[in-house]
Amino acid sequence: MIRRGEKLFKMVPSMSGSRDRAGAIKIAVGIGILSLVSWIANWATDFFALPVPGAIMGLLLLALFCGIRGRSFAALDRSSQFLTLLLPLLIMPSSIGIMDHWHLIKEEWLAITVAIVASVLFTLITTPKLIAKIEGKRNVSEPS
Amino acid sequence: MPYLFELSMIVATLISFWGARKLYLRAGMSPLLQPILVGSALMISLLIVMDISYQSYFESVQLIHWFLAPSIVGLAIPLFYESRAMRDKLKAIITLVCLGGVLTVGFAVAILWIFGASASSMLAMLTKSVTTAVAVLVSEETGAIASLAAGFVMITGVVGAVIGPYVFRQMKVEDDEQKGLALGLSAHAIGTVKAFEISPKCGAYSILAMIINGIFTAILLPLCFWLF
Repeated sequence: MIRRGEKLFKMVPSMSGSRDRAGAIKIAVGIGILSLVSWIANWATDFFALPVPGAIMGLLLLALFCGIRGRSFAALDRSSQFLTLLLPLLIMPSSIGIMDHWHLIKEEWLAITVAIVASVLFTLITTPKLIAKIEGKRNVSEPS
Repeated sequence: MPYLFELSMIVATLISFWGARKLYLRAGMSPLLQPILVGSALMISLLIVMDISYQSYFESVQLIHWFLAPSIVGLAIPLFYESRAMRDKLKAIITLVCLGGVLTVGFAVAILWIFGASASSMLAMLTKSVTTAVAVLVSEETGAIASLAAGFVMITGVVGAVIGPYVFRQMKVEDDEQKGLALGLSAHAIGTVKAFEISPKCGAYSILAMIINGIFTAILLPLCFWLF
């Protein structure tokens, strides 16, 4: 189980060193389709002036489409996994921007630290309890 | 040579992520060595040493940033698969995640307010609750400081991944479904990586919590700013 991350990484053909060319093409096609969906959704949110980011709209549209169709798309399965794997890299350009807010963090580090640690602790403790309560109420015969 | 700066910045970003990822796997996936944390730290040091401003860096790596939107759209696929497997529980989970999401953010913002933190901190904290990737796009939409929000998300994710397993042990939480939902809700993407290390089922529920929370906040937050 501990090698799960490594296994996920091996899934990407161009990175594992194996010559899975068909897989790589499938991923490229999938990314193209996802970009297209994102572009269309972006245009639609702009056009209707919706207060929701285009990417979220694209996500909902694609999930809805898969739901109506009853199954997913082979090309999208792989590219979705591939992009999720790379998500930390894709966020890096934005997260590096924290360097411009160094003065703010230096001034308010105590408040920021307490707020983050306390809210994380709060969520980690209450979520399992709440879900157990909600599910317990629905099927009393099967207490968890 | 045109685009030399852009190209070198993109390559530098790829190399620091790659190196951070290698280090993470080598160190037995220690939560403190999250690739995004180490990779960003490496890149920031490089930018400071070479005296490059964040703005010129960000403009030069647009190509990497551009892939963010398609990858968020791609999250629809795991959502679709999970929603089918969890259909009868979906209502309870959506209720919980929305409720938990609001409570968590309210809690964090309240603490900042008590400490007398600045408005920009509070705004960024408000946005932070959204999944890391989504946070970047949402804050572009709401006008909160995107990079600050992304930084908060990064710190939150690492904190959640580090203390999560410890809290579960103390609280005697044994159900992978509950663990996954808690990790996805509190620690977003980095928590999901941690959840996958616990079990695939745990990871699936973590993605679900993360996505529902992301959608919910992404819709609710701009509406809040729109109304006020």
